[in-house]
Amino acid sequence: MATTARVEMARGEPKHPVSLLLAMVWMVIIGIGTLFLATQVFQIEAFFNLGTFVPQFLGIVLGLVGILSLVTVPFLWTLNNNWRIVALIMNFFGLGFGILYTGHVSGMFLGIDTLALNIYRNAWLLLGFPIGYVLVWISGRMDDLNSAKDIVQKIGLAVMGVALIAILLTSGWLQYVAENPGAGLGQIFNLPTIATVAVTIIFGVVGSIFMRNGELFGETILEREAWQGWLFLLPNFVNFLLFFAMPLILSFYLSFTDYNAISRADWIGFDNYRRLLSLDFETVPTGTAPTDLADRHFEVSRFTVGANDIVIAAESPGFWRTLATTFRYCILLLTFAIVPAFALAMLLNAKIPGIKFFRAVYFLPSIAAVVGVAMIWQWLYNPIIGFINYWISGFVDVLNGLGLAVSDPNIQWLTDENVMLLSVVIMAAWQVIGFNTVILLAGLQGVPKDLIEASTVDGANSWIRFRRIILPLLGPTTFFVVVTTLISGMQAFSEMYTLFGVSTSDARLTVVYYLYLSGFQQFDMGFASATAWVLFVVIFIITVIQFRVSRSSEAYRD
Amino acid sequence: MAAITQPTVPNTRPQDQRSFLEIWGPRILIYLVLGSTSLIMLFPFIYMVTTSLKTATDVFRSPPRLLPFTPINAFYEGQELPLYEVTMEDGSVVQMVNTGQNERYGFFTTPDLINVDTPRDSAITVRVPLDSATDTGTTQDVGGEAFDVYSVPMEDGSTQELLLAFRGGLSRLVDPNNPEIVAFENPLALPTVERIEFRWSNYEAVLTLRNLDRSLVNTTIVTFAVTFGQVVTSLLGGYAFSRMKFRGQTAVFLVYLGTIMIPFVVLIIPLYQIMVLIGWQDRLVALIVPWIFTAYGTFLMRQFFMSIPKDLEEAATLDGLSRLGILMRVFVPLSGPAIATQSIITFLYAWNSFVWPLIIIGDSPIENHVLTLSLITLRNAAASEPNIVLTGAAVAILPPLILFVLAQRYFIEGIANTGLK
Repeated sequence: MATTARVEMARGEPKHPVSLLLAMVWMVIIGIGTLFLATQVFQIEAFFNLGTFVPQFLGIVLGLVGILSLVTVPFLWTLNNNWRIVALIMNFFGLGFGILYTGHVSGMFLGIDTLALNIYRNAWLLLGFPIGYVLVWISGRMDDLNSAKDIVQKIGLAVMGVALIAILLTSGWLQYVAENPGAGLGQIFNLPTIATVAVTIIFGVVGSIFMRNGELFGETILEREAWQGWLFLLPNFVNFLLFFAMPLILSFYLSFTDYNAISRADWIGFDNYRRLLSLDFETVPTGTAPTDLADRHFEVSRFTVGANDIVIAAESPGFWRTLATTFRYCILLLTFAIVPAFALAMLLNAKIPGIKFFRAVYFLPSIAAVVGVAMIWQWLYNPIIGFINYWISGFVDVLNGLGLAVSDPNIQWLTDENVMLLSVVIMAAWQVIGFNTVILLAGLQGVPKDLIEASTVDGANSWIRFRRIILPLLGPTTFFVVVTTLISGMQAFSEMYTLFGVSTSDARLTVVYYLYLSGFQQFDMGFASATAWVLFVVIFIITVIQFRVSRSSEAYRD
Repeated sequence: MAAITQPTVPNTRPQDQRSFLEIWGPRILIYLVLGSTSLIMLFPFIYMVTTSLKTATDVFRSPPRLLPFTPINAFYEGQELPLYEVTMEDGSVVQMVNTGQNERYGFFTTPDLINVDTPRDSAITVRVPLDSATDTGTTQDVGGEAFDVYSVPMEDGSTQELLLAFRGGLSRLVDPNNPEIVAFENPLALPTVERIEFRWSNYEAVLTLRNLDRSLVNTTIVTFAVTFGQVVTSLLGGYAFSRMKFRGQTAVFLVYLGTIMIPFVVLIIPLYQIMVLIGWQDRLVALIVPWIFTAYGTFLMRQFFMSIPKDLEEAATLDGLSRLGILMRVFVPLSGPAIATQSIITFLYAWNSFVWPLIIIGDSPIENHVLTLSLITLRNAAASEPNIVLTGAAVAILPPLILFVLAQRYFIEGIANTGLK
């Protein structure tokens, strides 16, 4: 600021180029326009049933933007560089949002459906890309002095460009944009589109005016980095604001409302959380039939203490049951997915040929889509024609041949309530073992060899070496593997959904499944949001505990 | 465990006095364990591919078989009939067709061999056409049950009095190449003559009749768009975080770090509502635009850029390149592995994503479905055709697997590195 003031003094009266004056006018227009919009939005009674909070929040945010925009103007007049940066960033964010909104309002985004519908009618055009790419690749391999290199590269790029244009022309995407049925106006030149495009362009132009006037504002290189950094971050950040920050705030708000997607959301305080978490305990004589307690509490579980049963009842018994299932699932998954991974990683760490091949093979299952994998396992688990029961029968036959009287268990993998969870765990473990192995192996390869050699010289046997040296050194890696497995386990949904379909038995459901049912089947969305936040807190606590444990075990190493 | 660490001492050194067996013994053990584990890892995929090449009847065979078989037919008297393997009396095996003509046979045995409870399980001494044996009209009581006594012509020309255990129709089978060779058997108990045949037409059927071609196109478009978008925004964002200093940088960085902690389920309901509000429900764009932001990818790029020496950049600045120019001309060419790793991770994520598509376009007309959704539809529609369902699964699973085989290095190294950081 001091430097800009000095520059002003030296120059006396600041001279403003016309473009800068116009840009300042634009800032005023934007400021007033945004403020007007803010008052309009603020007054909306019911914003798509989302309650008054959303329009008020949006109104305040827009109002602040409008005020900020107006505030920049006097500072721009005095050639204050910090406020020029603010104005510049504001305009480029306007450009970013404008481009997204143009894509939306012009039908460019919705037209993707048409593109997908028609693209394979002229699928041969897609060949242009590999052909063009091969040409560019060839040109990259050619001698630098050869003048043909340039030509080949240009031809390659041209082929790709022509292919792209041809695909866009033939796919109906451009026609869709031109007709713009999404806007309901049937024309490319409709007011909303034109206005959006115009405003977006002006944002860009004004932004670049501010960009070019660095010298006038006495900008230093460091100060230039300030706005350049934001510009680089912008595509990322606009999406973050729209599709991460906004839903996050909305989710938190909705968890305090009775939102159900149909009628207006009303603020109900902590009622969703109370409904979700409230527990009640009651002592009844052992063997009494399940009782529904007062205040709509339903039995979840019971313990026998002496002659009495302690009944645990909850207002949302489904949540507690699914939470218990989720924990059970996570514990099983940790056992089945990490212990074998450790063993495999130790084996792979041997310096013998062919390790890379095995590592790649183990990794394969984690690449496949859970849905597809579930289809495969569904038939592997089939009690009659599935291979798993076939192998078990074969094994039983071998045992019987050895003189042991073993009966064929004939496990009903997908229908027996006691086995179902295990079936999912086996499938999920099969999918993630390779991933865990690769990460543990990378950690093992980072263990200094001299340490191991030194311990061997000291006479430590393999187990002690593993327990006292390798395991502590692998602390951070193990932490990563355990936490990623736990986090994915706590959010398990697709596995159950695809193996079992929509069902109501809590014994096989996870919390996310419960959330899905309450949010998207019963449309109790406020309640489902509260469930999501509780799940988040549970995951967070588990991670923190895990972190503490892993840190204390690292301290032990020193 | 002892076996594992031994080979870590290089065996080429002169001081290594171990014998061939000492080196290779443990290794063979390791290979055995690793090999059998790879079989377990690969088996479901092999099963998927072979089942997808089966016929509908072949799938439901118990005990299950891995390879796809198809019955071989032969022409006999102008008809195409399935071939059976018949073991003749002399022990030779002849391939025969079932003529469809039945003849009633009697199954005879001695009183001590008869199974009273279930006569069909009795040990049979001889079976002859019922007409050739003569009913003696008498019965014999075995264990409380009465059995008819027949005088049965034996092979050596003599006759013998035996009990009739049960009657049954046997089909007349004929060797189509040599019609005078005839046998009477129960075709259901005979092994059919089969050969391995891959039914590639399953793929055609799934792609064209079951709408998976549209899903494949949709998934491909969505995956490429998301991957491209994420790589571009991550490159820009990673560069800003690693090479620039600006106000608010640390705060944004911390916020981004925090987003990794937030599970997606927290966002799912409001994000769904936002999509409904702006009319993106049931549209492919809902699978693309909200997914362009990635904190994770931005970090990946930042970490990689941090390892690029500053000198390179300074030289480029002196050459008069702009910031964007430096990123495009200096950083991007150097970050091939990082870009490859991120592209692959994003590719897999977008290709395999299921929960979000289920919620946002699950109710839409099937044309806008992605592969994972179409698979569910296919499974429900073709519940009794595992060969068709697994063909669909193969269509969804094989493209990433092929990509993996091509770009295996980036996959594994990239993922191993992210775990370490």
